[in-house]
Amino acid sequence: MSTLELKNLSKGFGGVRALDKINLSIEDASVYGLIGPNGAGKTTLFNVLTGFIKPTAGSVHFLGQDITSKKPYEIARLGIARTYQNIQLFKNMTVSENVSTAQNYRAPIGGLKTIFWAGGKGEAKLNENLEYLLDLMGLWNKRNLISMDLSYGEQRRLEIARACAMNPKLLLLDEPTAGMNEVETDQLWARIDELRRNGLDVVLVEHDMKLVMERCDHIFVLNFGQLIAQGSPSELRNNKDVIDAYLGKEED
Amino acid sequence: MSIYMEGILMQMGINILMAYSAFIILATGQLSLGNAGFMAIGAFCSGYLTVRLGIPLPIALILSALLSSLVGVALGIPVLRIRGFFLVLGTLGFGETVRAFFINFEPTGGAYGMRGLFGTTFEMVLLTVVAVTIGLWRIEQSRIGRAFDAVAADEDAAQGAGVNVRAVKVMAFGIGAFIAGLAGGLSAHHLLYVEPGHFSFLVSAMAVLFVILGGMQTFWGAMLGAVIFSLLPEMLRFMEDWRLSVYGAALIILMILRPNGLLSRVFLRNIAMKFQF
Amino acid sequence: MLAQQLVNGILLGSTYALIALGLTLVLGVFGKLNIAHGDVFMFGAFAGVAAASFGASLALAILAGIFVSAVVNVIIERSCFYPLRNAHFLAPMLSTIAFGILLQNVATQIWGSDPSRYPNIEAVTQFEIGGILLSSVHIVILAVSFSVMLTVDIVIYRTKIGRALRATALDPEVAGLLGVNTKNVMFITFLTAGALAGVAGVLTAVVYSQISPLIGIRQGLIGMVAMVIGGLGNLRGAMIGGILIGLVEVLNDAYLDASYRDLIVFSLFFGFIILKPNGLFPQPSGNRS
Repeated sequence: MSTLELKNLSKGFGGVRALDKINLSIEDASVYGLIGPNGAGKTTLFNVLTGFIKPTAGSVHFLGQDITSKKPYEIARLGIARTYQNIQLFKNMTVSENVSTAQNYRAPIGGLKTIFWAGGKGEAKLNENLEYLLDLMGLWNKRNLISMDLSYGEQRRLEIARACAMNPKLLLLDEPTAGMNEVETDQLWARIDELRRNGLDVVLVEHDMKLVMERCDHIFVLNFGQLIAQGSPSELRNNKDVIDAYLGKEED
Repeated sequence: MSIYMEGILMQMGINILMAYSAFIILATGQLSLGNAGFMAIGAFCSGYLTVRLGIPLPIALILSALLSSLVGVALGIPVLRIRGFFLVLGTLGFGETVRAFFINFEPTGGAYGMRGLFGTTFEMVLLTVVAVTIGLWRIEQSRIGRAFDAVAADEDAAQGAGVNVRAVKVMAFGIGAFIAGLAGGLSAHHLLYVEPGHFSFLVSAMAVLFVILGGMQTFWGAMLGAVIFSLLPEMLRFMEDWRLSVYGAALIILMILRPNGLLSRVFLRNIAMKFQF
Repeated sequence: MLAQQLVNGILLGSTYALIALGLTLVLGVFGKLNIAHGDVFMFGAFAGVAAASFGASLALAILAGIFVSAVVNVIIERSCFYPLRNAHFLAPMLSTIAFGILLQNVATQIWGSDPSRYPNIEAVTQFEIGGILLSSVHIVILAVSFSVMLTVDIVIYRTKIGRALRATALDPEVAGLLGVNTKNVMFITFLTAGALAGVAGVLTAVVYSQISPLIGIRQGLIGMVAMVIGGLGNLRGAMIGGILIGLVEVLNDAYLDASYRDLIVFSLFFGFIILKPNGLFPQPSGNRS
């Protein structure tokens, strides 16, 4: 059973075809790249996958379940987590609080018990998990800082830590290395690798072609809302359609 | 304690409850300028229960607050569809509609309201304030509190973190309405009479202003704002006539210098840390 | 008789239209709501009453109202809007709530909380046109209201200044880049909105013949209702909305019961917000709510 399967997925806005009959599937613990010129539909695809936008046609299946009509928070609880191009952290909360909010998704919010009896064995496990995630992203010693006060790179890592706190099976990263230098990018990749070793599927949207070619196991290429090509980096390197798509546009 | 002092403290307690009701809704990033409507429901319903049906006040208060809470939930659902100004205006419209409704509602006396209410004691107000304070404290410490914060900070990211944003927002209205209903009921039986004119937009606005003054990020701020406002005329007796002007001017300046109000999370955290070691 | 009620309704509604107009100008250009607008209206009304009690003519009283309200509104801009322009978007609105309370208290201290009467205007003639009774005062009020509304409409839609205002309303950054002096636009907008409130204030004082410091609360609310019904940010809609509400109120008082007035108006308000938030005349989308 594949982790994610898209069948004839389409989304139109007025007269514009943002997504046009997309068919693809994702399996195994792998890193997938999603590339394409600006306006190709990458972020729209993410928005549909996470339930913020409903497709006009087609369906999305996650772990065998049809999630096409589910609400965003339901999809999040089922195991798809995401980061955003513009970093959407809970700005006024601390680093720990950002992550611990996401940890709660399995507990039924609204139970009286969780109001009056915070604590106990469940709590201890969550704290362990919190420590592991923050440590993995190199943020443990900043756990009590307000997230707004972190550096750009740290904020991106925090967003990823929060996404991972959901214990997801699929992680969608929207341009995670934007604004990072080489060192930071390498460090981030090391962390993504470790997540992948833990069984996570990662799909990332990236503009840095070098990165995508070096690190991704499999690449999807989007243009004008259509999946124009997919394959391993070596397969795509000489693919005419891909080269056309990129040379045919003005700038990155 | 003198009767006079008791009266002041009781009014302060009621103001604190009003502030709490505005706060809990604001804590999810929604601004309600219609909480006077919830107070009205609590006041008229409890008044009807005690005066016309002879039900003991504590029971009447709880029942009325529950009714108010139901209305709050009922309001919370349609307003989910609207954002920003529309939300504020919608709650404003709600508050005014409730007030206008009671003007025409004969069983509770129409525009004249009801007289002969009595029974609010100092102990009752104190108990209610303490109970609600504990409730809000536990919420703040709990996962629900985290969810509220997340919704206020960024609704999309909150969805992404698994928070059922709609449920949280409606819950906030339900809780806020409950607390406002308690405030309304206690107030009516303290003032000995109740009429629709008691529940104007100004009352809703004052509740919000208490919160802004004291600090929007924590319920302690709501309490502080209400306390300051209630005690101000005592402290500045010579200025009693100008109290509202001073209050208004102070808030305007405060918004410029310290837009989150007097108390902020960081501030409280720093104080808490100093007391820990 | 129905025609009489319609005329009365339009009379009342024209004052509401002016209030809604001022509110909409600020909302349209800044995307922010001035909750103290009703109290600005109240201050202008008192200024007019004060001027008239010193013997000023109606025209002078109106000018006094315009002047005072415009000044107050600019003060509001400087203290509630400009300093908070980068803060959370609810912040200026909350600040104006505080300012409104300040204005109400100051007015109470200056003029007392008992109603103040507008001095009787002498030489009032009663006209009868086709069975409809109108006093010369009413005719003046209608004339003033409608000419003000017409002027605003012409200025906004057919002059350079108006274009600048509309450009800023649609997109302040681009407007700035295109050479619009946004600082001037702010000043002019608030000044005008204040002036409109002032005119409305004095006219209302004449229509009702008395005012009190808390009158602004309700009038401000009605202005908001008119705005929503007409379509937030739509100037012409605001004017029509105001007149509609005036008609609703007068017709209600004539054919139903005065006590239903608020219930009908505010239920309409609530209903529109929930069901038809873009009002009767929705604006094409700019970048305002």
